[in-house]
Amino acid sequence: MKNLYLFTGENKFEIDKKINRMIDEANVTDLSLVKYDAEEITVDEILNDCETLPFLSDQKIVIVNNPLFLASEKSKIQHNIDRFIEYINNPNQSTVLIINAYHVKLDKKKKINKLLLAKCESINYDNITELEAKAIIENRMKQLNINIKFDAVNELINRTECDSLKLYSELEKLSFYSEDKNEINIEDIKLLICEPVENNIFSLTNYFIERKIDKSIHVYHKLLRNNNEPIVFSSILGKNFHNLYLIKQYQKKFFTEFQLKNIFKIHPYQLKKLFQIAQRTKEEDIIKNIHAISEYDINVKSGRVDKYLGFELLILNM
Amino acid sequence: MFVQNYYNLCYNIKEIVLMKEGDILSYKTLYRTYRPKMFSDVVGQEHITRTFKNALLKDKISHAYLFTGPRGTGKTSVAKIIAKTVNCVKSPTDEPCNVCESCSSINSGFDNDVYEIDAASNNGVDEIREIRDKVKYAPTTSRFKVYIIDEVHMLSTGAFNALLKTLEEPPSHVIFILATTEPHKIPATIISRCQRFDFKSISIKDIVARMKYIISVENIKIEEKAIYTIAKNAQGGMRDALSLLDQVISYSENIVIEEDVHEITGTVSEEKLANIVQYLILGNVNEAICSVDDLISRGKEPLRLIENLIFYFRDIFLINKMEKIDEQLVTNNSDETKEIAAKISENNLFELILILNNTQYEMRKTNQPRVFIELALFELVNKLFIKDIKIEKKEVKENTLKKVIKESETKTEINDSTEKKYIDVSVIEKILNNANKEKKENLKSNWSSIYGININLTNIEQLLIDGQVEAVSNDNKILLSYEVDAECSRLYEKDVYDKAISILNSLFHENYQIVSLPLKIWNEKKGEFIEQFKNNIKQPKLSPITEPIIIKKNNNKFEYEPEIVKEAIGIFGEEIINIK
Ligand SMILES: [Zn+2]
Repeated sequence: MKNLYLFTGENKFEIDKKINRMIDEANVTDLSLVKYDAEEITVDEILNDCETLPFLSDQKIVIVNNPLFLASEKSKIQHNIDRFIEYINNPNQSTVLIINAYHVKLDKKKKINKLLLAKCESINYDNITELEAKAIIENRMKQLNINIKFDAVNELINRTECDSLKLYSELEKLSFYSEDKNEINIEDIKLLICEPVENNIFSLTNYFIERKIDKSIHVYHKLLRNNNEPIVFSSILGKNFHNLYLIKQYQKKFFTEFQLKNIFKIHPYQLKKLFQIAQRTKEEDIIKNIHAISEYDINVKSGRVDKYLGFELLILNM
Repeated sequence: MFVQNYYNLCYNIKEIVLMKEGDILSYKTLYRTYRPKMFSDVVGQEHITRTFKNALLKDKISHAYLFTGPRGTGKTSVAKIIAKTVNCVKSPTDEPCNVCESCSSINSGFDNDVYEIDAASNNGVDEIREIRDKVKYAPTTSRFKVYIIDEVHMLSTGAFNALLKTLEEPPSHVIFILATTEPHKIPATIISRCQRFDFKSISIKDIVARMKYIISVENIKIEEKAIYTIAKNAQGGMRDALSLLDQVISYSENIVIEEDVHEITGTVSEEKLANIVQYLILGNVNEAICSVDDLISRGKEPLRLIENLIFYFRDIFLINKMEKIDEQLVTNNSDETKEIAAKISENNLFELILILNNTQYEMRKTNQPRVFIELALFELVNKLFIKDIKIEKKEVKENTLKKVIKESETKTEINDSTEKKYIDVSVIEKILNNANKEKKENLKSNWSSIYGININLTNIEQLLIDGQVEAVSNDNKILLSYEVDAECSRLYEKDVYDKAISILNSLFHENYQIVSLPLKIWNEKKGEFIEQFKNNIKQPKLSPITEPIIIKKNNNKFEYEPEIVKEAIGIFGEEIINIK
């Protein structure tokens, strides 16, 4: 095992899995395994620990979580970076230091990060792609001897948003649920697999464009049942349409989805969906929806219309 | 509106239930008595109970679960059943035995290893810290320590952070079950540590079936219709249904009838609402008013009444617009209501609801709410009853109007700042007879450029965008139609008009003028014009516009008025109704 590891990326599931495997392989005692939160403990204290000898084992593992001080934003704690640099250049041979920078965007301009990337064994786990998610689902279903319908696979990917942590957790649920069943269809997925709110609002965007009244009403009530505020999700909905309008303008100038990734600060998965919707939607339909939503917003905020009733009228009147 | 009512209602019920529990001769509420004790008792959550039964039988246990879903759908009940099942002497099993020592101590609520925490009353970091400290100690008698944290979204940020630390590395003997009605308030870091289960709201059918079972066991005398009314009121929550049932039982003298439920909830029966609307469709406004007066004299609140009417029309709207009627969403769905729905056009419905909505808005500001309902009924009858309204009804309306003026100050205020004017139809005639199709198509296709790339429109730009370009004349007069009357009349306010013209003319480098018309009037006039045009009449004539538009008064009389405004004023007839 090396003395310095750096983990980066958005895939918490894979990062945790790899770190846990390393811990198992190192076979250290509980006393020789320490975890620190860099937003609570200073680098000085962490390094003091790194520099002491392991207790009752050959090696000691020190894991540093949450190293926000490596990102460009400000960290809550003042760290002694110089000492950290010194340690990285000359690490203790009986200590394995693991820096878990999951979800932390390293500031490439910082000297410390250049050094870390040069000296550490650095491993990056990003979110899985749709294809990978599909493969994971199909593999698991094969193991369980269950037939899963094509649209059910898509719905499952949709609801778990290519987040492997979520995907594995939902697959576990699904495996218990589907015992003594030999087929999983889309209704099972809709019943059992949780759906993120943004996803619901996304479907709403789509249904508004397609003027699907029944479906819009159902999604709207689903949002209400989870106590989401109509004013909150209508503003997210409005933002979606605003983005659609802008994407439409870029599409007219022949921008590709890839080029837009740098312009729009939204989840790539959502951008992909919006890009597709914008392609098949007329500009005037987008504008019409922006109007209707902003009118709803004004009417509710001025007390002219009840927020619940108003939203239904918005749907019924589309 | 309806969700709000429903919460008010629940709040009332809660209070009453609390009172009962405080009583010394406390009677155990139906909800408590019939709380599910094992998975097979749980109603309407088969997807969840099935998954747990299979997992627990195999002894596959996660250390953190998150239960989300509406109130009264069984989240904490299922949590307790899980706690019993994992600690039962028969474990691993798929149901708790409910007799062993562990099961019965959990049932009584005094188990040493099962902790029920209500985050709504304990949102401090301290409680969670305490959990964090104690969590590492093994359970005293059972296999698992189970922490059930209800309404977990109420925890403070500090408490969430403390909880996260525990969830990151839970000891193997601990199970956390977090329950919430508001999942969007839970940090993503917590959610990602839990296996999440969404509880669905319970269908009316399932609630009715459960109530019927309880009714037969308890030997309760209740009308079938009353059971449905309770179930509809409960909005998918079993607890609310049973609490309401409890309440009506103690309220009713002998046998519980439907009206008892309406009296407790302050609602009006579908049948009565249907009656009122039927009268309006027949043009019989007097009978409609009598029915409303009757309801009010029986103690219904005018505001609740108008809410019920709005909700009734909302249901009709849904019945007309949806392909498949979902009885969970459309609770007024009797055959009579469906017949009524078939008689009302979709276009009308939106306006009808707006009338009622505005009435409700006015009613909140006045201490004479009843008069506003009566006025609304007149407006409704105008929309619903297609044939001419007889003069006697006009008289009644005028009487009511006078009553309003006498009784309500807010209404006179509104009249002081507004005036009614009538559009001179000859202006429309001229535009249509000099219409230039090319100019119209041109303008229409460029209309959205008012938008620019900037979404932050001013009100005036917004107003223009909302208008539909119907015609453009050779001398550059634009005819705009508006779905919303209020928007249409804004273009008759001087300052609004000036701004609109300057936006248009600077954008298109033309010398445009605007005449705006409510969509309904435009459709009428367009129809007349086309009819005559088809019959080879070269210069079609239009019938006068009889519906006034309501305009905000311009206070500054000495202001310079540019040509178009003069003309715009010129197109109004002389008649100005001043109610004093
Ligand atoms: Zn037991």
